[in-house]
Formats: sequence, structure tokens, C-alpha cells
Amino acid sequence: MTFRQFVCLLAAICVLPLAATAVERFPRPDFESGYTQPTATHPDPRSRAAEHVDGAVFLAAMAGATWLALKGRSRRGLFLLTVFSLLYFGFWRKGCVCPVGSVQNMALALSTSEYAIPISVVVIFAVPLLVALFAGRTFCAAVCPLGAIQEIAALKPVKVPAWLDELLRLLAPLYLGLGVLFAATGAGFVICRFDPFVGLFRLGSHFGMLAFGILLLAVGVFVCRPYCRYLCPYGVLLGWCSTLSRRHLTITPDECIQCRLCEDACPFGAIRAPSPDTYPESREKGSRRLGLLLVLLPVLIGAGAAAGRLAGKPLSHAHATVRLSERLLAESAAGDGRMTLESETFRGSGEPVESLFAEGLAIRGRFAHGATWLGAFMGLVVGGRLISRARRHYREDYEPDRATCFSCGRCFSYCPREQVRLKSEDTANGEVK
Amino acid sequence: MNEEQTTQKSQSAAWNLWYLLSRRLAVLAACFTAIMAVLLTATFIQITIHDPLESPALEALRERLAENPRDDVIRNGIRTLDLQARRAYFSTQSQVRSGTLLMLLGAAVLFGALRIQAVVERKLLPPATSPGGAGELAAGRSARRAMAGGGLALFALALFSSIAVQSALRREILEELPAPPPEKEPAAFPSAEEIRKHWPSFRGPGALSHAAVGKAPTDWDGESGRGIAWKVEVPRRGFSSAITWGEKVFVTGADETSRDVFCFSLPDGKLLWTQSVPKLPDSPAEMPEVTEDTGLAAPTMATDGTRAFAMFATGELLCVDFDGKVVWAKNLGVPENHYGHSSSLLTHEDLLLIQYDHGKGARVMALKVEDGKVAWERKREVEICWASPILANTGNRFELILTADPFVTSYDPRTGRELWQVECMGGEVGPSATYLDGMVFAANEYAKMVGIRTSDGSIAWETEEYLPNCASPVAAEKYVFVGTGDGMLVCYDAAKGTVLWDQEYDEGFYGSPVIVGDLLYIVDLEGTTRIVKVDAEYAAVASPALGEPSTCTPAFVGDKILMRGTNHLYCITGSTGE
Repeated sequence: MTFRQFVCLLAAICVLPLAATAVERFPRPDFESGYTQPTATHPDPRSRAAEHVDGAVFLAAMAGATWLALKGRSRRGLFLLTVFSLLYFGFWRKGCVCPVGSVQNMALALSTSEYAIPISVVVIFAVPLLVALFAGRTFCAAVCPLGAIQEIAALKPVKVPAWLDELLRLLAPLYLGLGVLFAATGAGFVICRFDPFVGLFRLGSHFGMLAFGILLLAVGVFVCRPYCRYLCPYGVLLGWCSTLSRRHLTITPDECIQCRLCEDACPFGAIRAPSPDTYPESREKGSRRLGLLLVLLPVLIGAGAAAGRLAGKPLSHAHATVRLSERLLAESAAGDGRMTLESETFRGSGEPVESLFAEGLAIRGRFAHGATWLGAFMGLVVGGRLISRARRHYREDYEPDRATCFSCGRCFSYCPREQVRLKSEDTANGEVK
Repeated sequence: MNEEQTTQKSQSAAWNLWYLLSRRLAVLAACFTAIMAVLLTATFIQITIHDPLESPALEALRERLAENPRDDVIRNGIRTLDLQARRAYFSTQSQVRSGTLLMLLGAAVLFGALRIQAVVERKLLPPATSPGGAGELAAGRSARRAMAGGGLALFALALFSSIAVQSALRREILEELPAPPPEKEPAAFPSAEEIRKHWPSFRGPGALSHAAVGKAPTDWDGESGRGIAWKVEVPRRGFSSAITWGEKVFVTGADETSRDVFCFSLPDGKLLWTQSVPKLPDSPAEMPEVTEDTGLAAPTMATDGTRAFAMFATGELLCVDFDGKVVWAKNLGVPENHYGHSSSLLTHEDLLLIQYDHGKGARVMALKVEDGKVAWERKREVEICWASPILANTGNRFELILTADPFVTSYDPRTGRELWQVECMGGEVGPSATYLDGMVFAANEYAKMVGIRTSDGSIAWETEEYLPNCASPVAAEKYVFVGTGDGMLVCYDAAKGTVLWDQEYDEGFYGSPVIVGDLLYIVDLEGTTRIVKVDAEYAAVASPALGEPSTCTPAFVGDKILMRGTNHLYCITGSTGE
């Protein structure tokens, strides 16, 4: 695609959400005209049977994706399943409930006994992780609607520089930590609120989020699946599980002949080359560096915890009670009588301001505690990755990186051994016929 | 050239053709999508900048309407312009929707074409190979640097945010706050003895139609002014009766433009102040349709001695202090009532009791007199009704008794708990119940009159002989009196329900009878008060005339009677005839 085409594409899709903003501009008519305002209706909850159908479709899609990635080795099959998932879980089911957001449900359920988490949410949260433990990220391959919409937009992949890729990959664990923190403290489900694609699935959303989603899609034409790679909080958990997976998709169906044809096959940079025979650096130097980083790890965790503790106060502003407390204090300090709708409502309620402040301080305390853990977690992530990059990984063949591989199957067709397998299958099928 | 090479060449030509076609299709689709995008953007900017409802012509008309609020020509002009603006807006919206769909279609074609192009490209160009894994060390180094930089950036961000984000919410703030005001003493409410000195609600204390005074004037003439201490015009029309407390008299009046409370001075009839219902969020833009003989201000006010409460057919409720300042106001929702809401208010201790039986949902509720907050509320399975609640002291408890179709129901006024209920009423219930010595008496035209024992809610007797349509019954000694809409005044035996006597008059009774000592006062529709003895035999005492029609129930306080006619409020101090 030329630059001109890209500009056209970007301009075109960026104005899509404009129409969505032009709603409810009119007040009611000045005079009554006999028109009866329709009474507000609430949709009936989804029937149990429909929920069961959703669950069955989800499990079937997971099973299908896993089989296609590991056994069937069919990129076409995975792509068709991706399209189906986009249509069913995305546009038909409007992107909800999805495992990505269910992380927050789990966090809230674990932090308070007042929230009863539905069993279906637990299943949707757990199944992709369990499958990842045994077979890698097949959920990402063809079931996740967020991944599916980006997969289809991935038209002209470019390689992201290693340093930038590494840096951007820090965002996902941070987002995961923030999502868990906000959910556990009752500040809200930010992962759902800022879901970039749910507005597209529902054909209407906040302008900013729609624009963000469309921008991600436009970027995704070149940088494939940017949300999955750099932002998806659930992808972090899937990556951990997949690293430990018992089986995983392989590039070659049998043996790697070191032809190097697959080296650039992966648009996500998830193919690892065999270890070089020699390193220009002595083994002692590498060991010293690794030792130093191992010693540094507790320091990084401690520094992260301290930084998190500091960030607890500003982060607590995400909670409505803290914001309202701050607003009331600011109004009292200003003394000009100006109020927001929230502060006016609170003042009108007659509730004592002391209890609001006390609640706000208690929430801030929870934030300070949670943010300390978040900081420590981020310290561990940074330290762990530094150690990982300092280690020498010994590989004999070209292999997918289990943590970052989406099991999309793009690499299959690059492997000459795969071509041989397909031909022999064709021959076998012909003989049978 | 062998066969394989020929095949490869023809395949390559086919791929080249696909590549060319997909490329051109992509260009076409991109142009189409871009054109749609530009058009949509222009439309979006246009509808963002120009608010169709803020056109100068519409604004000018609105200003003119503010000056002449009753000018129907201007109203119609605004309606027309408003409609045109809405039509234009919604047709633009429709165009935007169509344009968006077309643009989506163009984008889909563009995506498809680019996808084909990407696939074909791979067929034409074999994947490039890279030098191999020799650069792993360098890559690891740059990755470590990036990671270290990212970690440092996060640390700096945390540090910066903690410094930059100021917060006034500190632990010390709780100590710095002014001490909370001492717990409010429970609202002091007047004793029963105190209440009996005044006329705080429709039909007096407890709405039982018993005046505490032993005697009242029996001779006056409104037309000549004989026996009339003062007579004042009530500024707005209303069918609510007067209530008094101390030296203040309260009545309500309302029309299309305003719902008002008027406070007059009891000694001289001077209008002390007027307070209108303020604009409330739920106030209706247009007044509900009511009949002429009910109007918008039929419910009689109530007072607890420090505040006065008024209600209107709009569902608006107003609480004012005795100086006319609004203490609180709220709207209970416009009642669905084809004549107009008329149930009067009643207070009990620190509660304001409201019977709100209308078509959209009947309910009874108690609001706190201090702030109007709901103390309790109960739904009722009854039809629309015009009767008012009464409060009976049965010796061991207070009972709030409501009459409606089909039930007479007793509630605990403090909690709203239902005490008993009897299915005995029917029709459009206007008369309220009354109480005497363990018996509740309720009646309505086209239904029946019943005597109900409050001990167990059982019916002692019932009759269908003479039934009222508006005036409530009153009980005294061993008798129950009823004034009917067609002019019959009837005395029943309270124990058996048998008619002891009946007397026919020329005019019907809408105002309820009141017992004053051993006399019964009841005002007919022409304003003539029929005063008779409370006795087993009919004995007329006097028939003084007000000089103008009246449908209200008089208030008795001290040596005065306060009576509201169609247009005027009278204070009667005529002789007692002794």
C-alpha cells in the first residue's frame, strides 16, 4: 500500500465515529403537543439457554482453534475461525463478556465478599488460561474478538525495532496491574471502559474511544495486532501460562532443516532463531552481568514498591468518592459557591461531609496499599525481563517464542517441510480416492 | 521451454493480473471512501456549529412570547419553526447514517482489495531472508537498555505524579473540620391539648369535625355584615377550607399561572403574606385538567403549629413557616384524577400524612415535617378517591383511617403498618370517615354507610338509606349525622345504623358538618349554615346566611367561625343567640 492509499484509509476511517456523536441534541419541544414520551424499557436479561449456547460456542471455538493450530496446522482454518469469532463474539455478542475484562471481575471477587462472581465469568476467565498451559495461546489465535478485528486489519506488516518492541511490552503488565488495582478498590472496570473495539462492535461509543479503536486498527495495518502485543492485560497472563505450556504450535511439522525461510514470517516478531555457535563476548562477562542483575532484582522490586506507594495518591483520584471529597474541599477553599453536579447533589443529600472524607481516606489507604504491590510487580517485571535478556538461550532450531506467539499459523506456509507434508497428504488423499 | 516453465509463467501472469486488479480496486475504493469521509466531515462540522434551535428567528419569537405569554399566534409560530428545525436536523442525521454506511462499504472493499494485494505480493515475491542470529547479543543489549529506560521512566512518572497531583484530602482534615452540630432534638410537636385550641387541618383536630369550643355564633348575615368581624377577598380561587393556628389563618388558591398559600391575620383579616409554589424540577409545564367544581386548590392545608403545609392538584407540596418562607417543596408527581386531586393534609406529631389515591398508583405516605423526606410509604390497591385521611385516638393507639373504593383501611400513623381493612366502599369516594368511641363511620353515595369496630375491623352495621357524595359524616354522643348532596340532613343511631330523623333542605351539602357543643353546623351550597341540635329528635336552631355560595367546611376557633365562600373569606363573631 502506498502512502497515499494509507492516508486515504486513515482519513476515511477516522471520521466513522463522527455520526455517533450527533445524538440527543434536542431538548424536548417547548410546548406539549400530545406526543407521549415513550416509557423507558429495560431489555430482559439474556435467557439461560442463550447463555448456554454462548458457552458452548466459546468452548467449541477454543477446541477448534487448538486443533487447527496444533494438529490441523491450517492457517486458512484459523483465519476462517477468526472471522467467525469476530462476527459472533464481536458483532453479535457485542464483545461481552470476554476473558480480557473478566480479569477485573476476578480481582473484585477476590478483594470483596460483597461481589458474587457468576460462574460463567469464572469459566470464561479460566478456560483460555488452562488451554494456554497445555497448548499455548490458541485463544489469541482465533477466538478473541479483539484479536480477530486486528488480525483482519493486518495488511502490511512491518518489523518493530527490538528496543521499541521491548519498551512497549512494558505497557501490558502495567495496564493489567492498574486494571486489577482499580477493580479491587472499587474505582471501576477500566479495561472495559477503555476497551478500544467494543464501540465498533456495538456501533456506538464515546467518541474518544471509537477514535482510539480506529487509530489502533489503522496502526495495525503495519504494526500487527498492537493492542494484543502491547496493551492486552489478559495477554500477560496468557503469555505466562503459554511459557509453561506442555505442547505448543511448531513452525515445522517434523524437523527444522535450518533453511531460514521462516525468519521473517512472523509479523509479531515471535520467531526465535537458533543460538549462534559463538558469541563475541566471553562467558564470564555474561555470567557476571547475569549475577549482577539477579542481585539487583530485589532492589528493583523495592524501588518499584516505593514508586507505587508514591503513585497511590494520584491513582486514588480514579475513585469517584476520592474525587468528590477533593472537589468539596476545593469548593470550600475557593468559597465562590461554584459547584459541580456531583457536589451539589451530595450537599443536597444532607449526608455528613465527615463520613465522605473518612471514606475517601480509607479508599486512598487501599490505593496506597494496592499501588505498592503494583509497583513491586512492575519492578519484578522489569527485573525479570532484564535477566531474561541477559541470559543465553540455547536453541537448536527456529522456534516460536511461547510467551508472545499468538499461534496464528502464519509461519506454516514458510516452512519447506510443511509444503512436503501437504503434498504427501494430497498424494495420500489422491490414493485413497 | 518445458511444460513446468510454461505453467509457472502462466501462473505468474495470472498473479500479476490479480495484483493489478486488486491495486486498482484499492485505489478506487480509497478515493470513494475519502470522498465520503470529506462529505461526512463537512456535514458533521455544519451540524456541530449550527444549533438549529438557536436560530435568530426562533430566539426573537421566544423573547416575544416571554413578553406575551398568552399569545397563541407566537406559540404557533414557535411550534412551526421548532418543527421545521427538527425535521431538517433529523433528515441530516438520516443522510449522515446513509453516508456512513456507504463509507463503511467503501472501507470494506478497500480492506478486501488490500488483503488480496498482500496475498498476491507474497506469491510474486519470495520472503526475504535475514543474516541470522549473530546479532542476538546486540539485540539483547538494546532490549536491556530499553527495559532499563522504561523502568526508570515509570519510576520517574510515579515520582512526578505524586508531586504534581495536589490533594487536600488529608487525615488531619477530619480533625480540622468544625465539630458536627449537636444531634438535633427530636422535632417538638404540640400536645393534643394544644392542638385542640386551634383548627390545624380540614375538619379540625384529627379531621374528626369536633370543635373544642363549647359554643359558637349562631346569628350572622354575610350580606349585611351583621355578625361578620371581617370579610376579605381571597386573591385566587380554591375550594380548600380555612385552617388556623394562633392568630394566623391559612388558605390556598390556584390558577393556571400560580399555586399560592395566603396567610391572613385572624384579628383583622389583613393579608400578611402570600407564598407561591417555587419552580420544581418535576412541575408540569401545563396544569392538569380539572373540573370547575374541584379546581387546582381543593386540598385543605394542615399545620403543626410552626409550619404550614399545602398541596395542589399538580402534585406539588409546599411547606412554609409562619412567616411565609419556604421550608421545603416537592412534587409527588401529577396525580391522575379526572376531577382534580382533593384529599386534604393531616399532621401527626412530626409527620405529614398524605392520602394520594390516584389513577397512576394509589399510596399513602408520611413525610417528615422538617424536611419533607419520606418517613414511610405504602401502596394501596384502591381506585381514585377524593376523601381525606382522619386520625382517631382509640385509647391505646392512634389510627390513620382512609376511605376509598373498595376499602376502609386503618394504618399505624408512625410506621404505616396496616392495622385492619374492610371491603365495603364503592363508587367515587368523596366523603371521609369519622370516629367516635371505638367505631369508625364511613359512607359514600351509591355504596353504603357502615359502622366499623376498630377493635377488630368488623362491620357492626351497614345501611344504604341516605348516603353523602361529598360531605363527610360526623358522630357525636349516640348519633351519626350525614348531609347529602341533594339536601338531606340525616341522623343515624350510632349503635344500630337506624335512621332517627331526616330533614330535607332546598340546597345540597358539600361542606362537612361540625359538632360544636350540643349543636351541629353544616353549610349548604348556597352558603346558609344549618344549625341543629345534636339530639334524637330534629330541632333547628338557626339558619344564618353567608351571602355567597360555599362548599367548604367552617373552622371554629375561640369565639370565631372562619368560613370560605366562593370568593371571600369570612370571620364570623356574631352573637351566640343566648
